[in-house]
Amino acid sequence: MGLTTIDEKWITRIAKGDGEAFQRVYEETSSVVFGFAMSILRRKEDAEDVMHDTFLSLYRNAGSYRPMGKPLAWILTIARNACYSHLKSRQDHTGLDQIREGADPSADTSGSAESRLLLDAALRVLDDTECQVILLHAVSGWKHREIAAFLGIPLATSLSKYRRGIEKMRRALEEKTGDAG
Amino acid sequence: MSRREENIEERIELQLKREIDAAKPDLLESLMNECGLSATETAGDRIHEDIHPEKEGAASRLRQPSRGSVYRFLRSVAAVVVCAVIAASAYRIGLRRGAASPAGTPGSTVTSGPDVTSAPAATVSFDVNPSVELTVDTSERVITCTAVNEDGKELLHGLDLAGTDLHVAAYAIVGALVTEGYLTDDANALLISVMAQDDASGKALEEKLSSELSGFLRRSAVHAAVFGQHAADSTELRDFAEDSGISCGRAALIRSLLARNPRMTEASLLALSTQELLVLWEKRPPAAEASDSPETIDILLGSASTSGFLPQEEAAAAAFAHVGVEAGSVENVRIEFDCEDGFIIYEVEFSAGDRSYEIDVNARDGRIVGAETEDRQEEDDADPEEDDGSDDDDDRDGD
Repeated sequence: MGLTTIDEKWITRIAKGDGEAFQRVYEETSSVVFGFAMSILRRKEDAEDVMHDTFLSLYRNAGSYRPMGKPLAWILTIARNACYSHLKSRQDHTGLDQIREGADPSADTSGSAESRLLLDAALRVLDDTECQVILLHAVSGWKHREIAAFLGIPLATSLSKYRRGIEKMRRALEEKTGDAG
Repeated sequence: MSRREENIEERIELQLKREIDAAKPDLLESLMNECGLSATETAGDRIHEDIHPEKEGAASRLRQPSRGSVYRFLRSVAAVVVCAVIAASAYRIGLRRGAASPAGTPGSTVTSGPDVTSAPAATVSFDVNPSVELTVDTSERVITCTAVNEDGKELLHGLDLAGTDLHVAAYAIVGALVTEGYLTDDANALLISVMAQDDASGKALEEKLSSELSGFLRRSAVHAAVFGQHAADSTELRDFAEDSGISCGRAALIRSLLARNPRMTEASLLALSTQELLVLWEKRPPAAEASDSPETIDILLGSASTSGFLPQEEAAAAAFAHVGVEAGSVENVRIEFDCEDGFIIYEVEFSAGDRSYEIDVNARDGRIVGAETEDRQEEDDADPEEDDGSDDDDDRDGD
């Protein structure tokens, strides 16, 4: 299904100040960066900040990129570090769970309830790993093996988290639909 | 896992992706500003650099949207130009009013543009292997768009460029030629031809168009060669193109080659690809008996690639071996491209001992397709001793 393809040369070109390469990398990866940030931060405003910081950092550090055939993993590592920096700067004394408790996806009115139905369900009912596995699988085009390697979890865990998460979402949607009906 | 479960997963993922795409902010412009990156480096802006502001409005005239690559390019070009300001509409109106009576053009796959009163002022052809032909009015707006061959149809993918600004359409066509891989290392030559009743206007339009597209291709990662050609509109040329199923551009190129090399034949040249014709035009010097007509083709960019042909050294070695002479004993070697029976050949001329030779070598596969030998002491007689036509039936290796 998905869908992210990046030529490593673009990152080399970004290091030389090539605006076209930057645009292409942005267009190819902004969805996966944003989705991944949402899966960690659970709040759109925070994910936007992290998305901004990620691409700024990508531009500034493009010169240190060493081609190893995994440009997306490199970009998502930047995004993950940006997520943790963001959490740390905002809530030095507040735990991640507490931040998330304060994050109510449904409070975000930037999209219609219908257009954010599944994303809100994912953010509401999935645990960290389930959410990351499912969103990465949906937007990155990575296989479970690549997702497991990136998240540092066994392949079997990635697969079981994925299936359990999908089942949770399906049930949540049915409940929501039932409520609505 | 059951098929139903797979479907549920796919549907959930697809919808998630849509929702994420819809929810994500658009930070590109602010990031580029913050990074000090120039927007002129983007593909769309690269195109914009060469399009004049008065070319606004092309997108709104786009009809019959398809998923073809020309359409994708047209959208990207049009997205840039719709932002521009109409600066010369008055000039345009003046042009229309002041234009000389344009030539009537027999329509082929005609689709009328938005201005039904427009009549063709020029025919513009784009030839690589795909051949696409546009007729345009005096304000450089496309009246008809015709795919001249099957590759041209594939390139256009059903898209009708009628009503589009010529320059926007040209970028869309050339952009698609690049992305669809029609311009390759072996077939890198693009022929842009303008045929107008007023050849001076046609020449000016051709120079402007060729220059713009050369600039675009120069900045692309394509080692393209661009040939610009202008020709006076004539019924004879149109009939020749139509009867032969080729564009007016290719027809004019064949006419130019025949004028330069009267010993070539029309039938033989018609069998060649655009790349082969342009290799001949570029590499084969005019014959001594050529008519003294002015050149109407310019090379705007690069050089027609010969990488699809054997190296000259191999052709020479094949010629020497055919007549059993050692390379070390050969002198006065001259190798030129030529055309014979619908094939590109190397014409290898040389002397060895008391004899002189002219050996024709198929430039694709190295086969000998003709040989003549003369006694150097009897050169004045000029009677060929040998004419080896036994190899003339080799198969065309094709592009």
